[in-house]
Amino acid sequence: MNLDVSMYSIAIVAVRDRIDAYNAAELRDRLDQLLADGITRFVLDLTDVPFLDSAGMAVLVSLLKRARGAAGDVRLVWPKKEEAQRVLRLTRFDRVFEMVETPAAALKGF
Amino acid sequence: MTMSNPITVSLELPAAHRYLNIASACIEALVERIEDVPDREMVSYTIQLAVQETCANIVDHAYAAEEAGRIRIELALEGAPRQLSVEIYDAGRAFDPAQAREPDLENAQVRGYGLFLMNRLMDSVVYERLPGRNHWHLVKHL
Repeated sequence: MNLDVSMYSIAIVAVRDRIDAYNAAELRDRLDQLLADGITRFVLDLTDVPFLDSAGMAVLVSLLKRARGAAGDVRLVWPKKEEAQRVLRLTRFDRVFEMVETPAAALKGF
Repeated sequence: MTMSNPITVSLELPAAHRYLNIASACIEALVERIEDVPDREMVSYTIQLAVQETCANIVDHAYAAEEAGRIRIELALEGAPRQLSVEIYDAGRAFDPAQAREPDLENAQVRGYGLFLMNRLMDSVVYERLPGRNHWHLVKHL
C-alpha cells in the first residue's frame, strides 16, 4: 500500500476575555507551554476579545517572533469588535500578522 | 447631563494591574450617561484604552516594584467644546520622555506601543512632573 501521511500540529487558541496588562501573563504562559510542546503554528482567535491593550499586543508579537524563529507562524482572527480592530490597524499589526475572518479560513494553506 | 458645570467623577486605585479594569468600567458607565455622543462605543473604548495604557505604565515604571502605590483618576465632562478630560496622578518615579521611543511600525516589536496609542487615540496627552508626583492630562473631544 502506497500511503502518503502528513500530520500537522496547529494550535487554535480562542481568547474570550480582555487581553490586558493583568491577564497577559496567563496567556503568555499558556502559549509558552504550547511552544514547549513543539507547536510552532498558531491561530489566535480574537473574535470575542472585548479589549486589547499594548501588554496584550506584546504577547502576540512575542509569540510571532518565536513561532517564526522556529519556522512556524501566527495567524490572527479579527476581533468582531470594531474598536479592537482599530487598535490592530493603528499599530499595523494587521500587516505584520496574517489576518483572517474565521478560524476555518486561518487553517487554509497553513 | 447639563454642560453648564463640569460633571466630575473621581476614583483611587491600588497601583496594580489587577484593578485597572475598574477604571475601564467607570469610564464606560460615565460615557453611557452622556447624551448624543457620536460613535459612542468607539469613544468609550478609546478613552478606556488610553487610561489603561497610562495606568499600566504607572504600575510598571513609576512604581516599579512598589506594591503600596496608589493611582488617582479624575474624570471631568466639560462643555464648550464638549470634552472628557482625565487627570491621572501617582506618587511614583518621574516619567522620562527621552526614554519613550516611537515604535517602528514596519517591524513589530514587543514593547513601545503604550504611549503611541495614547497619543493617537486622544486629542491631547500632556505629562508634567509635580513636586513628589506625576500628572497626566488626557483629553478626548466628544
